[in-house]
Amino acid sequence: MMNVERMSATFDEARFSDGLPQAEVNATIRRVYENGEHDVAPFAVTRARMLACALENVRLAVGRNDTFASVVERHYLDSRYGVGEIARIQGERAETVARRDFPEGFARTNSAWAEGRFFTQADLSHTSPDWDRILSLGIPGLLAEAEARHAANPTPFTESVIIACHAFHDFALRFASVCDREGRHDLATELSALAARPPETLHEALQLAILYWHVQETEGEWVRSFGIFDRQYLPFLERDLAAGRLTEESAEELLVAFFAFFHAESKGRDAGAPFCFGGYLPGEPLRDGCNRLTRLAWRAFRTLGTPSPKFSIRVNPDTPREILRFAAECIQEGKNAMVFANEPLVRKAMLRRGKAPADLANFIPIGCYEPAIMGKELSCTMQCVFNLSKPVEDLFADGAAAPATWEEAEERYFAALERDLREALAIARRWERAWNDINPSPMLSATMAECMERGLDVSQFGTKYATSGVVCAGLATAVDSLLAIRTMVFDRGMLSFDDFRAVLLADWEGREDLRQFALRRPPKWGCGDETADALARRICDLAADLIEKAQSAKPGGFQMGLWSIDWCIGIGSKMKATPDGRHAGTPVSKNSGANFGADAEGPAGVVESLSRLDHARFPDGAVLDVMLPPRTIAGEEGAEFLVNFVRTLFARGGQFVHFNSLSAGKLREAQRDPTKYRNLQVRLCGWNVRFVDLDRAHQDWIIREAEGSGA
Amino acid sequence: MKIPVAAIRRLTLHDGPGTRTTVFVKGCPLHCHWCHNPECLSARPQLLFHDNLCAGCGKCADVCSHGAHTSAPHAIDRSRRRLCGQCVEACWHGALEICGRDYTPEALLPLLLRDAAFYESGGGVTVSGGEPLLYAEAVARLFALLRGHGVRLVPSASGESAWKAAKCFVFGSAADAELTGDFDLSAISGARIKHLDNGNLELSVPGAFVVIVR
Ligand code: SF4
Ligand code: SF4
Repeated sequence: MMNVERMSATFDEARFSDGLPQAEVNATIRRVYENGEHDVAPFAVTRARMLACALENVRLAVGRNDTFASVVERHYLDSRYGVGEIARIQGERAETVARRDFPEGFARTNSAWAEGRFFTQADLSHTSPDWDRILSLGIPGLLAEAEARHAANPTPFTESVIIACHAFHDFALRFASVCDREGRHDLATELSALAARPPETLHEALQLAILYWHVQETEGEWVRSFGIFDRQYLPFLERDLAAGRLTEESAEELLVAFFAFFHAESKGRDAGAPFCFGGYLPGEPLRDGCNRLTRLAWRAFRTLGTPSPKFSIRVNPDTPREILRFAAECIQEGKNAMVFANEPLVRKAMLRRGKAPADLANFIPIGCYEPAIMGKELSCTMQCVFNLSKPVEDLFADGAAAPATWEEAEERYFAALERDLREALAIARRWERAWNDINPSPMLSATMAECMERGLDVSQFGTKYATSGVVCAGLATAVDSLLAIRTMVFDRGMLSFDDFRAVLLADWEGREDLRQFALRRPPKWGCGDETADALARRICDLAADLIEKAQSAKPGGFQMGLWSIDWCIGIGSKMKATPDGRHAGTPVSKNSGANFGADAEGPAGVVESLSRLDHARFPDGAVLDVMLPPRTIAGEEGAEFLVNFVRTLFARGGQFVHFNSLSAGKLREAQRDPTKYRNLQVRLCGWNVRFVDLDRAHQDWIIREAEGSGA
Repeated sequence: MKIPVAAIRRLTLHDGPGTRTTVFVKGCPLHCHWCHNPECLSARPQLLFHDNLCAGCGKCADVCSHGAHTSAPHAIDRSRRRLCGQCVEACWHGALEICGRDYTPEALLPLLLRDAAFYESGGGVTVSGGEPLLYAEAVARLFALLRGHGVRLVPSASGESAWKAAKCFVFGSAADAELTGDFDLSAISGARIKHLDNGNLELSVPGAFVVIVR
């Protein structure tokens, strides 16, 4: 069985036998970029040349025991993705274009973010390539298509795609020669074959996926999904089994090695490589697609037990219970790098947004939990991050008159929310338009059928669907704060609005009693309280209306997401104390859930509250974090409970859900003695990390969450 | 027809099959040493004090017209309590709580149906305690109401509280029609349970313990 530690060692001790040192690769890329600017070459073409340059020069390695040719000196460069210099150029370029095209908007997005209000960006991709086309056409098929399009109608776009596909092709051959040199003739033969034809075996298909992944991420767009894995790779597996090339056992070993690569490559320090499973197959009537590969892959996942890859499963009423049960058992073992998606609900949300029924079978969670149609949608799911709780702070702004009634306070909140959201969306639209100037993506575009048909890059919205996500964070903080004002100032007259302002400015100093009251007594989001839930619904409905109706540069428009990932920490760090009892600088509420400790009714109350929102209005995703004490999910009952919980939440209209089961005591021990807990994983947001790799602020945040669950 | 309730716990896993909601009633004729819900022993409402939350602010003492609270350190003279609830209201730290509130079966019903969706895979409602059979008639009525909504039920009873009550619960009374046949009366016979000083129970008839649902 493949050993993860050994695989990791491959990366640490890689003997790079080809290519240039990092600094030289970076300098070469910079020269290509500057020459392109100097020659006034179309930027798409320059970008393709930068990619080619990186792929020609980046160092490669293969070990004697490696299952795949996979070691590329890429993540070791000073960037989270891309090759260092490409990422730097993306950043510079974004700033230059923004300062040129919308200087005021750019300045505003910076100032708004400095106070935790919102930010907007050119989200360069939260997307997935079309894995069906990559696997069926292979490298030569993609190249041939580009050449045919170019012959019929040559444009800078077709030229850029040809350069990118050639670079991909040459990269495979270059890796083949490295393998030959290192005595890995088996891999060399396979890579040469992949340069000449589509993959035929499972091993080839997986090898191609690794290669493509390196290529697209080098280009500068994160691969935020590997597609619907069990469906796409099943034909390869079945061919291998029929031909006797693989047995179930050897196939599982192969999958362990394949998945281990993603952990070894990142050591769990990025957001995880996302693989999707299950869900309805294309065509009618609807049939769930879980198959023997689903089972093999999940077994491999369990064997591996690492933070990356991360799995998602599209759950519908026909999902085999046994698969959900298996997932639940993984969670019991602390292998919780997974998210469950409510397929019927996501389908409904997508239909609302005008997506064709026939395309729905290809929906995948992008990145963490943002649904998009694989191969047909360019979804920039974090074009804008918006803080729903900031307008509460504005009520207490210096010089703002105290509202005379609760109704007035509420209306002022909604007016401020609308003002901020409109402003944020107007800037986000400018970023949408600027994208093609910042980051044409020829490799990614080559995989998208509609981009090739229309002759448009993904950054020109060549895909069938192009959407921008507006991530709305801090719902519970907003609701609980407003209702604290209502209860304490207007219903009970405990203090005047101006006194409340002073208390918040002083960060509750000397008024712990009031803070305790604020934490406990007013109605809270996530307890099934009708008043709180109605207010939450109103906030979400207003935000969704504004977001859907806002003018977007993209045909698919803006769409709302109800999640925060760990932005809730960054946002909170910039905010003053809020009336819900929150201290200044501490995180606002996370994702769609209740505030820490405010879920007095436990997960059942949170589910009840969530069921009062219309999750079909959150096409950019909505996720519930469930933290359960280990004793709750222990044993047979615990596993059944998890399955039941997922099913019930989805029956009641939730969209995505994931779980943590951590004991606060154990986490504290891990803080004290990290070496003993090297493998302790936590699901941070939409991804898993090793607890000991987190910084102190994130660690403390997770501990508080665990404490809140009574663990 | 009232049931004194100590607490309603949602998503319980260890009070019967599946995912359940458990109603803990107050009052029990046994006083086992190991009782894990001591606040359920007395049928009367009680003032609970969570000393880990108490900030020693003294507000409870200020408002109590019966002089039940003393501060620094905080103490409650339980002989003086009247359970007017003013101190609970005054305590913003959540350190005081009145445990025990009477519900009619009709008032409990909507609270227990909130999580009906969770019961679908074999769960339901458990009435525990305390000794539910002390309120056999009201509990039977509650069960009849819940059964009308398709909820599966478990009474978690000690069997001690009057064979008569158990009989009324399962075989007799107005609830009979709904209840008979739905319950598997596995082990009640003329059992009597004696509470020994060493903290053990002695059964006069072995195996006489719990009413279990099918
Ligand atoms: S009011 Fe509450 S916090 Fe204050 S002394 Fe009484 S019990 Fe303690
Ligand atoms: S409930 Fe009323 S009588 Fe009893 S301690 Fe509190 S304030 Fe005093």
